[in-house]
Amino acid sequence: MIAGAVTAEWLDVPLRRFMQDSRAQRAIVLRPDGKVLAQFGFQSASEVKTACSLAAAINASGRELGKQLSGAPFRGMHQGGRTQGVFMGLCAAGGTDCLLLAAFDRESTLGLVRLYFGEFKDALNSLDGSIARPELPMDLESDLNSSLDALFGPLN
Amino acid sequence: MTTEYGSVVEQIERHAGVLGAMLVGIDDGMVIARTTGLADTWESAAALASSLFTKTRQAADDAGLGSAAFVRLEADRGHLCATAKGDIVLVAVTDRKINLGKLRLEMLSATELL
Repeated sequence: MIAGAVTAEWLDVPLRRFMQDSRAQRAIVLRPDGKVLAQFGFQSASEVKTACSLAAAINASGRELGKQLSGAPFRGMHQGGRTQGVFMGLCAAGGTDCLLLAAFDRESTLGLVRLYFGEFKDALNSLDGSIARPELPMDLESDLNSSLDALFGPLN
Repeated sequence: MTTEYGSVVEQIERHAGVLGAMLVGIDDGMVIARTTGLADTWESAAALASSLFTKTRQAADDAGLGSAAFVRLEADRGHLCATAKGDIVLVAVTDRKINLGKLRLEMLSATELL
């Protein structure tokens, strides 16, 4: 069983299900501004902080690149390595966008991760009425730090 | 659809009782070529079939049986058959009345074209 934590209770069941079905090793759900909502498989707050910052930056770059190349933002990204792959997909929850970033090894495939990401998105859509709209973000760093405190406890 | 891959799945689809066929990458579970018979479910079927084939081959290997050349899944309304060459899996979805012996030979010879 992969250990994880969520700051948004409504994510717990869909994300656990995604992890179990897709056989991903690690996953994070975050807002596009970098605020982390849930994580599975990460060992420390600093790992999550790094992953969230990079995911938010990649998403911002990808959206802009998509707009320039095809007139619409890209909604997903995959980076495949020899032994590991990373998938990032955009979904909606509570009327706002969320990103799911998942890392997987050869126990899974991009096809499986995409398949179960589709089910994850459907699960969030079915919860939509019960998800509270998020508060407006303060700034990336303080928002991220408060989320990390909630997931791992204060660093100091 | 790339012609050489397309001709492989079309060859399998011509077999009586085959509902659809596709070539799937083992490493990523993504479709390389497919026939049109699998409706909207082809993407998930591809991901699951390649995973099934990989795990079955691994199980056969772990059990000391050697590499699995052909995998057949029997379901209530038909069969899912898979074989591979290199890092590509050939998958066929069939009805219950299919002649499985002929299909197996057809699929094994089709993979030689890859």
